[in-house]
Amino acid sequence: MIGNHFSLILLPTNKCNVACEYCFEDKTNDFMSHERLAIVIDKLLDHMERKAIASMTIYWQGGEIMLLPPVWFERAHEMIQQAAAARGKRITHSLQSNMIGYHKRWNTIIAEMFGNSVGTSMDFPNLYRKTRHGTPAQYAAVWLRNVRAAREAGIQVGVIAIPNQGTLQAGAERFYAYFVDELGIMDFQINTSFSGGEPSTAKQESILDLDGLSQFCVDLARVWVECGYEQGVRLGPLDELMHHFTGEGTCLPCIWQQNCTDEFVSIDARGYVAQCDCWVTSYPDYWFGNIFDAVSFTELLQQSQARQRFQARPEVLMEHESCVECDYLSICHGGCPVRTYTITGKFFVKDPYCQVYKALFAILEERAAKKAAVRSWRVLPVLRA
Amino acid sequence: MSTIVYNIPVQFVPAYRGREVIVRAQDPAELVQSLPEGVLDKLVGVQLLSLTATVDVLADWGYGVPVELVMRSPETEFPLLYRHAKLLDKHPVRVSIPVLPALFKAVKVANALRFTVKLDVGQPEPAAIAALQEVLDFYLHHMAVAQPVEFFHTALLSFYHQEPVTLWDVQEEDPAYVRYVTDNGRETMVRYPIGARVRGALGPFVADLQQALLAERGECCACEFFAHCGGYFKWPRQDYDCSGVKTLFRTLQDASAALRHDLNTFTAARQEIGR
Repeated sequence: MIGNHFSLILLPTNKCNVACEYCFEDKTNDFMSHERLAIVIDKLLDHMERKAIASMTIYWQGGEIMLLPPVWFERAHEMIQQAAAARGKRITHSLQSNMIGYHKRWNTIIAEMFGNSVGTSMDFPNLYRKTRHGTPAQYAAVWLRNVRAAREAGIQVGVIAIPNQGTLQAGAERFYAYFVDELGIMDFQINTSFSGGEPSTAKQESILDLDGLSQFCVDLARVWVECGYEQGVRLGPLDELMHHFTGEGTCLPCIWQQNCTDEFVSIDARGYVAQCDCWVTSYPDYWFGNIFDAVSFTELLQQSQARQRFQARPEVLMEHESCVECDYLSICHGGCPVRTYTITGKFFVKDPYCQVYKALFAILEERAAKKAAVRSWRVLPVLRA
Repeated sequence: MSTIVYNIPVQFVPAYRGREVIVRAQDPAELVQSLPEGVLDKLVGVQLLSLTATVDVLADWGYGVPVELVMRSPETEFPLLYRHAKLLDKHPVRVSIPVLPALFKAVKVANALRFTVKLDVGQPEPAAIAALQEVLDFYLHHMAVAQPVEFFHTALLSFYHQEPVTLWDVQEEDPAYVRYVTDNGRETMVRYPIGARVRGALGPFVADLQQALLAERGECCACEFFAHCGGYFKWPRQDYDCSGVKTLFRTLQDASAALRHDLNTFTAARQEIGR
């Protein structure tokens, strides 16, 4: 959140070591040198001072982040922490990698810089993730070997999964069992696909029938509430929705924030600034500017007409869409701009996954109410009468 | 003795230095420029009279200054609340919404953005009463509601705790405590409709009004909600028919009774388990 905290999705390399067919990024061979990184950090710290922002989280991703060697990160980490300390600011780091290039030499920097935690991605079944000249099965085998090695080294691995046509055919129980029972993953999340970047058949196929996807999400919620919720399995964003509906503190994902421009920005290896990684890699018309060209990062953000479109989006949705009538307005706000644009070709319309979100909200609201009733039942025997 | 808070236009900041003030302006930049460090300790809050201005300067300014967004037309202005959401990172924010028939969407969006709401209620017409009932139902029963909607919230607590608080206090309109300074520098009531006249001194205004209302043995005299209202709805027009607003009070009273019953049942059950 911009305010007291700032989030940056930083892509120090736009290069990737795999060839996933549905990837929304248009890749380049660019990477960011330490000298250029120092300029970026300096401008961000200037911005934090001007805006009285106390802390920042950098979400490191690519391209594929592990194409830069661990030693690059060691130096980057030292440089960033020194620069932040000199300004009285706090900077923390988060790592997102496909794990295909993981090796045990990463362990030290993952522990020291990233809190011994890494986020990665895998689908079940894997249809679209491929190594350059390999098959999805070969990709999955390498990924699984590396994830197991990382976990054996004590690294916490979180997984993002995107349901595909095969997922819907396999069903929610099988999907859940693959991650939790077979892989032993206790922290994973589901995401919805969006067909950013250059069009392809795989990208088109990855956009699922909304009725089928809604039913899958409802079934998955039932399975998770039954088998995982009270057993400590974190399944995003279902767990955060459950927290919301049970009245606990919650941190909903970026797709449901009131306005993502108030939350984060992304900078790629060339210095281009945009709302998030998909925009910065694939949509030059939506770049806010280039941090190396701008006098200051603050002015770059303030003067960007592209950013003003993002800022205006929720207002326009309230005027022209049905969002204001929705019972779930306070936890959705019209949804994600990038999903909207890449799937519909329009910017000022609500998220095309609206139906799926509503199904998910409704089932978790119902399950939360049931959980509350069960708690009352345990506490209030008088209610049994 | 309580201090009087003055609601002043931004150009009067130097003249009211040393006194507790709510400073109002159309432009957030004007507010920030006019409020140097020295006056902030007496600053009760700021009011933004326009929802169309850029608020970045206010969003980046200091910490914890209460901000009230004054809405004029809920029917058309409710989407504009989104551009003010960033203010919450540093300031508590309340939206003042006039009670007009198209009120509901504005309340709903304000709540979705985690703003507290103050209904600028005045003497609502029948169509506005229907809108108020819709908002009250939303406030009492919708699980998305996470922030107070005034005057409902304080009135509900007041019924629940059986400690009446009048609407003059809830609405921050008792001139014994809060005064509005016009752009011409005249001190008057916060709610001062065109054509209305304030007879006598501002300090004892509410006490004088209540005394007069009870003396005339009219609707207030037999009203079960007088202790919670304090004659608020009988000003400026004393012939205002309170039947509509009484339904709101009754709903709040019933809700507080239901809440008390539920909590008593819960407490009794826990005690039963503990035995």
